[in-house]
Amino acid sequence: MPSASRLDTQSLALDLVLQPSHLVVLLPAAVSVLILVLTRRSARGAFVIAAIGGLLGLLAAAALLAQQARGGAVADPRTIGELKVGPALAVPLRLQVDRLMVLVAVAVALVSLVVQVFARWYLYSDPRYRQFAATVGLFTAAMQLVVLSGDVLLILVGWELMGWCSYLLIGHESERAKARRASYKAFLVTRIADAPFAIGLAVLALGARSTSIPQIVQHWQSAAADHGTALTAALLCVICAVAGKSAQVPFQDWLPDAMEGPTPASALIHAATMVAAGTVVLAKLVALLELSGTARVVLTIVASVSMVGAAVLAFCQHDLKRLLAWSTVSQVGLMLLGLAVLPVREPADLGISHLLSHAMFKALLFLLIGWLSVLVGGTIVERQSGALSKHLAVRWLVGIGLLALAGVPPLVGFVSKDLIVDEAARRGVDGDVSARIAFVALVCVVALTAAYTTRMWLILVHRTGRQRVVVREAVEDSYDIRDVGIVEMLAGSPQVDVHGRPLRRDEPMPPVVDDDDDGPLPEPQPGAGARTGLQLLAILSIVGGALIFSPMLEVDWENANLWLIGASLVLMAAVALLVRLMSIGTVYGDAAARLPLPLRSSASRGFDVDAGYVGLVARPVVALARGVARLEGGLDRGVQALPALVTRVAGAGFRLHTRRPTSGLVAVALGVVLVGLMGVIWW
Amino acid sequence: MTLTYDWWLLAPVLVPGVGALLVLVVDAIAPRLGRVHWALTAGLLLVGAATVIPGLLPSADNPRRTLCLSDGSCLYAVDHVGAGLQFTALVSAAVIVLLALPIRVPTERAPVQAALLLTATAGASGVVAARDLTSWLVTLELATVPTVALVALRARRSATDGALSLLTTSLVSFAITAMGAALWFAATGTVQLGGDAVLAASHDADSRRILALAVVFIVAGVGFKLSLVPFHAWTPEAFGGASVPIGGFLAVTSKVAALGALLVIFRGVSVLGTSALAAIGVLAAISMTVGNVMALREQQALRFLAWSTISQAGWVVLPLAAVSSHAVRAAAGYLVVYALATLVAFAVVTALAHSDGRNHATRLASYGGLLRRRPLLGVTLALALLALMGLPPAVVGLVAKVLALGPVAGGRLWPLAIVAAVNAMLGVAVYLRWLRILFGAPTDPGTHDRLHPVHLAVVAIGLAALVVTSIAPQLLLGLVGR
Repeated sequence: MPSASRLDTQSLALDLVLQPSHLVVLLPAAVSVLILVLTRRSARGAFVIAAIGGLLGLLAAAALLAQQARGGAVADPRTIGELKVGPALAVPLRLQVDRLMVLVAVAVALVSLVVQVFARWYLYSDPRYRQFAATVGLFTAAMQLVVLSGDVLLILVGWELMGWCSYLLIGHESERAKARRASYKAFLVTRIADAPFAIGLAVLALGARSTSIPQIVQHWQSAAADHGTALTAALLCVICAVAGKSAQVPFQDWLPDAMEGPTPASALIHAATMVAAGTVVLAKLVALLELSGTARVVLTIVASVSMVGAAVLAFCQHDLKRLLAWSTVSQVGLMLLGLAVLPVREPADLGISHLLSHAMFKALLFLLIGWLSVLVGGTIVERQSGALSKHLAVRWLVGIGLLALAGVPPLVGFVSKDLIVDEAARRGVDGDVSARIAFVALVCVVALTAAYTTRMWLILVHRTGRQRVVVREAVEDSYDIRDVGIVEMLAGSPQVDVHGRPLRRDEPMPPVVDDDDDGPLPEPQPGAGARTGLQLLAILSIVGGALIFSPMLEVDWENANLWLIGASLVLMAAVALLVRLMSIGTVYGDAAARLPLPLRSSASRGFDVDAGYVGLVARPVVALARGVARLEGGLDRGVQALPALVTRVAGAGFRLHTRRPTSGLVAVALGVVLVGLMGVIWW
Repeated sequence: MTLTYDWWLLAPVLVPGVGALLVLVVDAIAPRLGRVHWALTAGLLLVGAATVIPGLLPSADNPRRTLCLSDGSCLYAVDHVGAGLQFTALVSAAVIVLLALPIRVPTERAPVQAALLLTATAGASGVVAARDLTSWLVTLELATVPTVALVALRARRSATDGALSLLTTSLVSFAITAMGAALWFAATGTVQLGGDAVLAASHDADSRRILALAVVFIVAGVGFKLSLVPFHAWTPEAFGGASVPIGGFLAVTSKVAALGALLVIFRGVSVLGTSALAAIGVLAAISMTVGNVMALREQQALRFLAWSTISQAGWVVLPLAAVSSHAVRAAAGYLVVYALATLVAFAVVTALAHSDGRNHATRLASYGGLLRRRPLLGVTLALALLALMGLPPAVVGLVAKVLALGPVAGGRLWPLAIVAAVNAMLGVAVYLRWLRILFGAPTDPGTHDRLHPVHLAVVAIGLAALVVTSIAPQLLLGLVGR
């Protein structure tokens, strides 16, 4: 059998043009194409394609992982062949398979599959489910391309594609103005931040005379001494784009607004794909980050400010989905710090391990908040208060997700976060400025994360809320016309004439239809597949930390500082206790209700950074556009006036040409004088 | 004094010149032959054109000389550009004769017209090759004076008006040219137009100034024949008054003679690399602008073509404003393209005037719906207009415009280049006006005569020539050297 000879059973190496790494990228893309081509109106067909494609994508990623573990993976698979653009620049367009990126690819494929399965339930009656599923497929493909790319050009392709897809996903409910605005905002903000990205990558690629990432890293490691400024500038450009995609300061404000998208889209964007893309790209270039102190300090400051600020905002949010969004900003900042405080000359394991754990528990939490919002009809505090005390099925899963987010041992969030804290402390003691800044920020964030997760949990399990919900249901039901019984009264009473005398008819009475919806409705819940997916994410959130013991991640867990761990646990416990105390006596069990109202409302609007965006960017751009339009209008009027002008000039010309020989002679005489003068002057 | 003769080289001048005599002799022997004279003339011109062909070959000497004196200077020289111009003059004259052939004129007038036309063509062919002042002046006038009679011979009020205008202007211009020639002689001390005497004269301050005046006077005198503004006032009158083929003769063959004459002088002074030639640039810019602007409002087809000629004359001399080795070839190349397009346009107008009546064909509005009424004429005219406009599908026009702008851009004469570019745009508006009429609502001429077969053949050949040269512009531009 030819296939047997092509598969090395020892290392699982595959001697084919098509490698599993190709499939990881191509299968999700094929999903979107197939859905748009094959299914016309059938949401069921779209779901079948999406689910099977997602599953195959996950299998391909798993196969890649197995290959990588056995040592049989091709490190740089070819794609469409090298682009010939001349001797100044080599464009090999190859992929790059290494152990970290393989792990990320598996996580992306897993989250994408769960999201696809969950979205079928969540968007069951959505007429545009097909488009949604196709966009999710394309989005996943773009992310996988960024993850597995070994060429900055391919990164750029995936990066841009994700920008477009996020626009489509966030604006999925485009009939709502808020969703439209959110999608425009996300697109424009990331777009503006992306502008330096291409410049930065171009500088890196032109310096190295190649767009291949290994060659770029190799070149700049030797050239950093001579061209340090260029490297720093290029890295700052890349960091700017990363801050845009990962919603770090000052581009953070698009991400909470992106909550206007359907919850599965939020789970996909915020857990594994778009916001993590920045971390992935920086992880690929992390060896260069070590060479430029300035870039590292800038990255540390951006990530620290975003991390702490977003955690504060998360605590103040009135909408629990936005709380999760801000927590995403905070957690991505944590990942970037993991890259910034990395031990010298080591791969980006710290940042990537937190990326993986974040992907698990954040996808879980987002999907669960979507489930809860279907159950209670909204994501604001008033609606969600007591949701878990009523809907017990979700309770365990939410608890695991929040514990993982807070970083309680031994859950996955604890493991990856503690490793970063540990490393920051170690390097801070060694005297590294960035690490010291990072450590201070990390301490704040450990406390703040504990605070907002406790707050969310307390709101969700609030008991008085349940009673309130029951009371309100009774009040609302009293307005129901069926309870008053007018219909039955009219139908049941004997018929009368205009004077009120009963009419004697022997017609049979219309049968009284029993209202059979009085019994308790079964609680809506996702299908078995989606629930299995959620449970899988929950299990991974618990035991995923064990990954650090495997050879796939090379982190220094043996020398963990137990005193530091203990101190942070005490801190978290204290904060949790404080929040619990604050929540006592509030209507919805909301600890943030103790904060002053102006602070809360301002924080719910993200400290009005949006107004800053509008004032600093949108208005000047619109004003410039108006100015250009006015100028163009003036030019247009000028051009429109030309025919009349030419006609007038021609009329004057016709009057001068009298058709008599004498006028011609006069012209000749004038011409001779003119030409003579020119000849004498210019000789 | 001994002169060498090379009859083959002189044949392009001698054949039409002797042919004029031959036509008159034939008329004296057998009067009232009518169209036979035209046929004879066309044959003679084509024979003359055939004698030029050896000079067009790339292998031909460049230049070929004859009438050489014992001191080595020659009075007659034809280089590749000159041969191309001679060929264009002779072939265009032959086409004009073919166009005139079917038109009914009093039989006693036909041989006179034919002889005049042959004489003018001989002058045009000769002035291109003249290398001394006297023969240059004589052949230039030989190419000019008969055209006055040709215009007048239509014997209508408008024709005599046009002829009068042409006559007065040509007389004044001859005076100016003669004055220029005299100054030239005063400055250089020789009637030779070669570069050595000019170089010698330019070293002395006084003679240098005189030489400058001589050059600009000659430019002014030849400018009349080229219809450069402000020496152009005769053009619309003569075109509007003359019979249609004679208008074509004025527009094409006469222009070839004028450019040939100018190039002879230009070759002499270009060795100086002088900025006095910028005067040509100014004239070119004014001509383009005035011609285009006036054409925008013109309602008469023939006068429209006159204004078009004026603006195209600006394009023809435009490259000469820059001192460049390519300037001569660019000017000649543009002229050849212009000649083809204009000749085709005149052929269509002639054919239409012959079948629908002159009054109908000379109104621009009468061309409405020509594409549907007479598709062959419509398509041919549209293609000719597109070539004059310089727009695809008539690629040859575009190539010519680029060719003409090349030396100007190369010499960094940006103001001139900008004026030319604006005029290229304006020219599109000018010809688009006529083109739009072709697509518009049809007008009924009242008479529906069939096209004369000779006209039909000429128009068809013209269409084929435009199509072929648009596919391979090198065929046409190769006439004036590579």
